[in-house]
Amino acid sequence: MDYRLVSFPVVAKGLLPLSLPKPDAINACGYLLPKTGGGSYYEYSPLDLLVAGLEAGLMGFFCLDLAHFFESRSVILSESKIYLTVIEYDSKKYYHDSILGFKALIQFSGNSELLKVLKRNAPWTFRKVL
Amino acid sequence: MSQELINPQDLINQGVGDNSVVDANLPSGIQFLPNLNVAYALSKAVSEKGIAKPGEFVLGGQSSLGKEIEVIALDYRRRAGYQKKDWSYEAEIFHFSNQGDVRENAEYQSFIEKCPQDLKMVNGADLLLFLPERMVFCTMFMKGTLYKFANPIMNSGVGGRVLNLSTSKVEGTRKAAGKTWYDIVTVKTNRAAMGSKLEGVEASVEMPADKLGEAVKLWRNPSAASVTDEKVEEVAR
Repeated sequence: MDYRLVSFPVVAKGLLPLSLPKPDAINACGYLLPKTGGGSYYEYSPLDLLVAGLEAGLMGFFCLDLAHFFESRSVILSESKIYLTVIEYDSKKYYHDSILGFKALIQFSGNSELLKVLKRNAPWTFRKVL
Repeated sequence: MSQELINPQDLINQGVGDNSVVDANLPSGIQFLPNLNVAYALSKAVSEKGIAKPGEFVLGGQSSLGKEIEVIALDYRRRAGYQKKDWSYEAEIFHFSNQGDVRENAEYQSFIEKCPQDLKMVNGADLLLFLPERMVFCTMFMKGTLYKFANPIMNSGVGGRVLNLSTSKVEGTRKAAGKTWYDIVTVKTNRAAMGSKLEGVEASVEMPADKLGEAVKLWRNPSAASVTDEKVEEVAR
């Protein structure tokens, strides 16, 4: 099965209560982007930033480190407020649900292909689903 | 030490293949590549930060990878250091022993023998690993009870094969009664890095070539890395 992420909310990083260090191999959780002119560089995934930033705004704190934020929390409320759309490319079937909904779907169905696509786009958020 | 360009495919299929002492007297606080450790109950990641459980693999003291991970083993060398009481290192030395015996190297041996009395000698194997899930190159310093698992990992991982590592808790008996530690179980998978010449495997795991080049350069010459103000976070006991 070939899945693709077709839509997720636009993230205005400057408006979120985040103050993060330069992304590196650990705190970007392996989100690697190609560099113009060859090579690659680590960057924060926009979805991870949105999850952490929205949670920080809801709970009233300032997020200083994504690694510590995601590792020290088992329940994240903002996951129920962010909606994604994924298309199953062969059958043209659409899935539109919150991050929490996608996590539940993967847990129950054991769909590792879907998890792979979501993990590539939001490595911190989906790191420990299966 | 050779400084020519690194060919990723040669590295996967042959290893770094150097046989030289790299560096002694590195400043404390140097972190040339992230460390991968097994967390114990007294580790900072467990007791202070609360980000991992005992027996889990911890990357750089910041992120837990769980009790089971997939790795590609790229290279092996001997590593020794003078450790202070706060777990930081006073001085370190690295020796590539792919093609030679560590006992034949006078510089390495004299470093071990000259350990000051107020410091602890730490000696073991250092592995260069790639974690496909995180797209990260890291080192794993296997000292103490973990030292004996370095060889099985390197032997099973020949040719860029993806290995499944997991920890299992061991409770000591007789002389070691009351003590617990973790063993590493190594299982071969039928997948390998792209460019591997192994037969009967699916060579599908992609390694970022530029990051591989950077990692190997730092691996060969750790003092080229920038020194951080904070001390290296050690997850060991």
